[in-house]
Amino acid sequence: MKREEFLQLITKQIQYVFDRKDIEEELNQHIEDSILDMVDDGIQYLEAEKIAIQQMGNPVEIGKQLNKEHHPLVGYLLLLSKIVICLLIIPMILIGIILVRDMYYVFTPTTVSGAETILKIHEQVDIPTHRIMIDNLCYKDDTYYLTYRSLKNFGYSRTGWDTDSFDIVDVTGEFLMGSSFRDSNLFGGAGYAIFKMPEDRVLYLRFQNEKLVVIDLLEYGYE
Amino acid sequence: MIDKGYISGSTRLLVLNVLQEKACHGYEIIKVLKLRSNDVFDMKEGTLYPILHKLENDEYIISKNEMVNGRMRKVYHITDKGVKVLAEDKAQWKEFSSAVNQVIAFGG
Repeated sequence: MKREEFLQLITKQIQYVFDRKDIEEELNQHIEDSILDMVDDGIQYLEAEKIAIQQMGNPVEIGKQLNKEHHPLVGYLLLLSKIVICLLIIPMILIGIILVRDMYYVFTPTTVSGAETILKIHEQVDIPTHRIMIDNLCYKDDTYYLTYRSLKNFGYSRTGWDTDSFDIVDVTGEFLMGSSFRDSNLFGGAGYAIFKMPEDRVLYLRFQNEKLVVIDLLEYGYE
Repeated sequence: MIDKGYISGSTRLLVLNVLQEKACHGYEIIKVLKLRSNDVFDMKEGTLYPILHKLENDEYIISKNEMVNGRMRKVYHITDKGVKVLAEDKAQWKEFSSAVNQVIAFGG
């Protein structure tokens, strides 16, 4: 019997196919050792190979015994568990990346790209659903922007829309401009409101629960 | 040649005993067994591997891929659990063999 044929007869008995190659390799190395020892004793290589294979025993019997130790159920369960772990790790990495990115947003004051930041306001406003940070007053092309970040209050059970946006109203409460929502993330969001600079440099921000916040830009150093 | 039943019953003892002295790959184990037993333990060599793989499944030994004489070989090492079970097997074997010796001493 040829060596390949002998080894195949053994591995064919192994139902858990993923172990076949290792088993074949181990037995092949054994045969090789056996041959080399006989060659050292003066036996021809091909003759030694024949004897070495004979000394191994009945391949089908060896294969059946090995199959008992490489149980397919155990093998495949092990393989499955490895696959499941891999599948779990990938989304966890993605979630991790999103978390880090969102954390970065939460802790970075917002600006408007291409606009000049002319005033740092950094005013914190708490409403039931959110903590809102009014960040900066920006200016670009005759337009003023008020930028803000919001952080969700996770203890608050929400119904319907997120309510971190606000209106800019005049002193009588009349609507002038609404904030536009720009970006939303796991923890909250960020956005800005465009407005026309009032004569008195005072902004009235009206939040969803009628909470009114007065921002006197002169107080923040606006000239 | 000795009856196979005697050998297979004690292979765990024999193999673990060899591995306790020195980590070996399969072919080395066979060689040591043949040498020490004056060729009485001339088992079919392939039958060693199911035994080795069972011992590994039982965690009495672990295999590591190691370079031996320029070739990658599966080398078996005895574990702490294996050392413990070997001591038990040895004690049992001594008890058994001395009992057998006592009985057959009367046969003349």
